[in-house]
Amino acid sequence: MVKAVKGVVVECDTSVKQIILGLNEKGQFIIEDLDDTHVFVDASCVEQLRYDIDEILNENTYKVEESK
Amino acid sequence: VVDQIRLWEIEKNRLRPTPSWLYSQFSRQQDFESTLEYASELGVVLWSHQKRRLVCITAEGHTAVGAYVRKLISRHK
Repeated sequence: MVKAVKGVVVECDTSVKQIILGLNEKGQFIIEDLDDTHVFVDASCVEQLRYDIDEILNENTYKVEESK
Repeated sequence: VVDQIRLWEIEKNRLRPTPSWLYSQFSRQQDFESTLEYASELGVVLWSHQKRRLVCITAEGHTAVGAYVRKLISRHK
């Protein structure tokens, strides 16, 4: 039987994809892992996901600058 | 400055989310291919994978593709 699920396709680069997989271990919002640059997730988590990724990436940028 | 703007754009586009429907568990390969072909003609395919028989359809295309799939399946009953 064909199944249709509502959600959001998120396209991103491979490094961001790795971060998403890491975040999913805590939250479990991924419905289907599509490929290296696409993931299908629950619609309600997208804003939180965007926020978390910004946090993580900004943190990394800050650390790099600090070590100079 | 142009480089900075470009960088900023990339930063802002880390995630490109599109509301959609994921179709899975096609029991017949021909059903999957037929659905994919129909959806491609409508221009509503966001992503697809032949071997895994998965296809992502835009929210706009879901009504038409859903009806098409139901028709396909009922034909086999």
